[in-house]
Amino acid sequence: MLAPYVKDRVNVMQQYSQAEKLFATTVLLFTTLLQTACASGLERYSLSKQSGIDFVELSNSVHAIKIPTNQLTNAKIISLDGLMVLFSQEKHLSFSVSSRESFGVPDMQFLLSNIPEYLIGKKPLPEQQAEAYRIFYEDLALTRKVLIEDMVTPIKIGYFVIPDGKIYIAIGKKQAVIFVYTSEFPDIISQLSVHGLSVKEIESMILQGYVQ
Amino acid sequence: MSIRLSKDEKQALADTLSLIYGTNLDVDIYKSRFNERAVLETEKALNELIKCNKAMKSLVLGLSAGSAFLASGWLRKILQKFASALKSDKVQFNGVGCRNGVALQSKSAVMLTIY
Repeated sequence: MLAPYVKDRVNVMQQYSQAEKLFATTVLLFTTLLQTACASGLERYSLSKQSGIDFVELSNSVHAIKIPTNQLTNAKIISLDGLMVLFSQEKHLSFSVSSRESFGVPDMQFLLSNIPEYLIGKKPLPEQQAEAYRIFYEDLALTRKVLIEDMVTPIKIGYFVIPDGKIYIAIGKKQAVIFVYTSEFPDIISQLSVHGLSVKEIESMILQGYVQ
Repeated sequence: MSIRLSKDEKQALADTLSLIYGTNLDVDIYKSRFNERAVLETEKALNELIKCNKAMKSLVLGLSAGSAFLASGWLRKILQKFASALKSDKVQFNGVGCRNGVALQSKSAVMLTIY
């Protein structure tokens, strides 16, 4: 038994021709796709793979970065609660892991990949009513303000698909932050914090290692 | 102000960094290398961290009487008092995620000063 308002909608739809229905469906589908794209706020980072580069793979014990071998001449690589690469006094990076606890995530239901999508892509967080989530979300909003807007101040953002996950990229003039998330380690996000490298240097020294 | 840090200042900086980065960083081992640059980079990190944390901001403003806040060199002036206050359980910190993300972003700049 159809409810009266459903009956009304069915009757109205029966008045339209097949062509009109097809047009309406197409518009609806396009709008939905557009909303989904806008919701993530991030576009796939465009970078072509360069051939003939030798890489050194460095791991923070969960995720890895691949840096061209020639860029590591005279660099210092330090393992200290994660990984640090000091290319020079002005150019350096750290590659650390953060757990659910580090982010203050209230429970195991929350997908950690939501965090970089919110911080960098401004994707809305899943609606939650619990007080613990209110505190957590306020903290994430503050993180976005301080870490992304104040410290990095991005001039270029985007994401890469990598095997089993994604990396999320925010590059500013002086600093950059890159988050690595893979479903193999759903309770960990790696934070790659970069200082003193230009967009081009980040692309050639760090992002090339992720290009498939 | 001299470049060299006193033994007490180095210990205070080690205590401050341990609180910011956690004991995993084991900064106590490296405290003999601490210098004025390490204090300045820690100060830059704290300038961002206090935006995450009302308690830390109140602490800094209280210890520096408000006047030194954000003026370069404020940390060394209050370093030992600041470390003591952080070590006491009286300061309750909120904003764990913001503190974590911002601290990690500053880590290589701070640790670079001792390598």
